[in-house]
Amino acid sequence: MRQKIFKSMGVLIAASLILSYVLMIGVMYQQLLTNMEKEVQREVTYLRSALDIAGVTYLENEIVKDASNRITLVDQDGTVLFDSMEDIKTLENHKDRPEIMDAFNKGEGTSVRFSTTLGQQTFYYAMKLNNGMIIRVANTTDSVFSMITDSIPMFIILGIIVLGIAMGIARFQTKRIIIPINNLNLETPLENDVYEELTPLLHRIENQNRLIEKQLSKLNKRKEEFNAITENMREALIIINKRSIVLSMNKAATEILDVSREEGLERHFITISRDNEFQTTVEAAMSGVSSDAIIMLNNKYYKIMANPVCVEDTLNGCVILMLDVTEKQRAEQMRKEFSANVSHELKTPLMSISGYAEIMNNGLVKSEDVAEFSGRIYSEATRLTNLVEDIIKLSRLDEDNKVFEQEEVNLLVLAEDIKERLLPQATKKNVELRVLGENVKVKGIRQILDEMLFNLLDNAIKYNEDGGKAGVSVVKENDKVILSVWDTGIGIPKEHQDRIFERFYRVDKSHSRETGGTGLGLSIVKHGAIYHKADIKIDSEVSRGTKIIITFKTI
Amino acid sequence: MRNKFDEQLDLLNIELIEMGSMCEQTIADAIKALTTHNVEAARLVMETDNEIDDKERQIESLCLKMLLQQQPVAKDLRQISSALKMITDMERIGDQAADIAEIVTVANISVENLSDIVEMAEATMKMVTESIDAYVRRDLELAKKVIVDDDIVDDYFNKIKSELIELISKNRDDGEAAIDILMIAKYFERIGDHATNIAEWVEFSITGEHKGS
Repeated sequence: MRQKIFKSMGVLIAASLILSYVLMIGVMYQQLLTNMEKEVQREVTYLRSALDIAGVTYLENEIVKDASNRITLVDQDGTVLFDSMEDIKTLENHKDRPEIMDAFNKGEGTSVRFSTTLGQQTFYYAMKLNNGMIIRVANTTDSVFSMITDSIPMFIILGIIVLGIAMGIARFQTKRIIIPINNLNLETPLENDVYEELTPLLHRIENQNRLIEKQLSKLNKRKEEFNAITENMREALIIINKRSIVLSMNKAATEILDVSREEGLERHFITISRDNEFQTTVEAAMSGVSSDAIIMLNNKYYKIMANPVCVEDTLNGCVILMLDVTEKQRAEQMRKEFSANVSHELKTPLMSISGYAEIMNNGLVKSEDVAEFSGRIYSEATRLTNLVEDIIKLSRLDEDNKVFEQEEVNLLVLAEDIKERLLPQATKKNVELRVLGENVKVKGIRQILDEMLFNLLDNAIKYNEDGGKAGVSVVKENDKVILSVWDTGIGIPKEHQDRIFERFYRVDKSHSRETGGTGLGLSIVKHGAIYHKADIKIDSEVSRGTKIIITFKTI
Repeated sequence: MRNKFDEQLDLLNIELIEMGSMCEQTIADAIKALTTHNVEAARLVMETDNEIDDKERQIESLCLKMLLQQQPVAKDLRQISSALKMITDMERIGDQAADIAEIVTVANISVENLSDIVEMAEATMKMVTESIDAYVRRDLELAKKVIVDDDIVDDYFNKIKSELIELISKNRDDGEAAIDILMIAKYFERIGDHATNIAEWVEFSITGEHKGS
C-alpha cells in the first residue's frame, strides 16, 4: 500500500511537472511573440515617418544600418531598393510577398514565415509610404520548437531537483497516511480512531472477531467434553496419523503402555510399544483393514482393536482401542477348567455304574453278591445325582437372576435346624455340635443360606477328628452380622487356603472319594456369599481346626 | 517444512527400534526353546537371525548414505555414528541367540535342575529390553542401570560355572551336557555384554561421552 501510494504520487508529480513545463513554454512564447510584433510595428511606423520626411536617403543613416531588425524598402513595382542585411542585387522581386501585397492594397500587411531547417520564424510588417513605396521590417526569432529543444537540458536539471524534493515530501506524507493503518488494533477494531472510510471494514472485522470467539469457545467446550470422556475411560485410546505418528494418547493408554505423553506423542507408534502383535495389528489397520488381537503386557491381557480412519476413501490414520480383558481371559480359563472337571467328575461314577451293570448283565455275579453290587450302583448314582444337583445350584447362582424370593431369615434358628439335620452324621463320627449366639435376622434367600450353612457344617463334621467339636455362632456387631462355623478338625494348610473355594478343588485329592463330597460345596458357599454381598474369610491351622467367617451387612 | 534429513533421521530411529525389538523377540524365543525344548521356537530364532542380518545391512547403508549426502554434525552425527555401532551389537545378539538355539536343537539338555541358567536368561533378556527402552526413551538413567546390571549376569555365569564343575566331578556322564550348558551360559553372558555396549552407545548419543573409550 505504501509503495502504491508513493508510486502514484510520483506519477502525479512527474505529470504535473511536464504539463506545467509545456504550458509555461506556450505562454512565454506567446508573450514573446506579441512583444516582438509590437516592437516591429513601432519601428515600421517610426521609419515611415522618417522616410516621409527625410526621403530615401534616411536609410543611408548609420542607425538604420546597425539596426537589429532587417529593414527593406520596396519600390512600387516590387523591386527591392534597400535592404539592411542582404545585397539588393541578389534579391528577387518582392511584389508577390503577402505582406507587400497587403501593404499595396490596404496600406499595411503582416506575415509570418517559418524556416524549418533553421528552426526559426520570421515576422514581417510592411507599410505603404506616401510616395507609394513600401517599407518593411522583419524580425527573426526562434520558433516554439527550438525554444523547447533549447530549454530541455535546463528543464531536466530543474525537474530532477523538483522531483527529488517532491518525492521526499511524498515519502513523508505516505508514511503519515499509513501509520494509523499500521497501528490499527484489530483485537478491538471499533476503538480505533482512524479514517472514516475504514469504518465499514472495522465493523466487519469486529463481527468476524466475535464469530471466531464464539466458535473457539464452542470448540474448546467440545474439546473439554472429548477430553473428559477419553481421560476418564478405562480403555486406552490412541490416535495415529497416516505417517504412523502418534497424535493423541489418553491417560489409560499412558498407564497401560507405561509411556509418558512426552515419550510417546509426535513419535512413531513403535516407540510406544514394541510388542509384535501390537505392531502387526496397527500395521494392518494402517493398510486399511480393521483388525484386533489379544496381547499380553505386564502380565495382563489386553484386547487391542485398530480401526483405519478414512476420509473420502483416503487413509488418514488409525484409531487404536485397548481393553483390559484379563478378567475375561481368566474367566474363560476357569470355564474351560470347569467343563473339563465336570466331565471328569461325571464320568467317574458313570464308569463305575456301567462297569458293575455290565458284570451283572453278563451273569458273572453270584446271586448273593447282587445286593452288594446294586448297593454300589446305588451309591454311585446318588453321588452322580448330588453332583448334578450341586452343578445346577451353582449355575443358578452364577446366573445371578433375581427369581429367588428375598425374606428375613433368622440365622440362629436356621443353624439349629441344620444342626438337627446333621445330628446323625455327627453322632456317627462322634462329633459334638454346638450352636451359640443371638437371634439375628438377615435379609436373604432362605434356600441359599440353608445350603451355605449346611455345606459348612457338613464339612466341619466330615473333616473332623473322632471326638472333635464343631459349631455355629451368630453374632451381631454394629451393622454387621457375623456368622462363623468352626471345628476342631484337621485344618487346611496355608497354601491351599486361597484355592479351596475353587470348583472341584480338593486339599487331599486321594481321599476325596471316601468323604463323598462333590468338590463343589465351598464353591456354592462362596457364590452364595457373593450373592448376599457378604464377606467370606477363612482362619485355619493344620490339625487345630478351621473357622470360616461370613460377614453379612444388615439392612 | 520437514527436510529430507529429518525424514531420514526419523526412519533411522524407527528402523533401529524395529531391529531392537527383533532382538528382544529372538532372545525370548531362544529362552523358550531352551526351557521347553521347543524345536519350532529354535527354528524361529535362526530365521530371525537372518532377518536381523538383513536389517543390519539396511540400516548400515542408510547411515552411510546420510553421512555422505548430508554431512551431519554435532548431535546428528553422534546419533548416526552410535546407530552404526549399536547395529553391530544387535547383530551379534541375534547371532548368539541363534547359537543358543542351535545347541538346544542338537544337544539333549535338561535345565530342570539348573534354575540358575533360566534366571540368567531372564536377567539377560531384561538387560536387552532395558537397553532398547533406554534408546527409545532417550533415558540416561536406564542406560546407566543396564551398564551396572551387567555384573548380575556375570555373577550368574560364574555361579553356573562352579555348579557345572561340581556336577562333572560328581557324575562324569553328564560332562557333555555340562559343556553345552556352559556354552549357553557363555552366550548369554556375551549377550549381556552387547546389551551393555548398546546402553553405552545410547549414553554416548545423549551426552556425547563414551564410557568405553
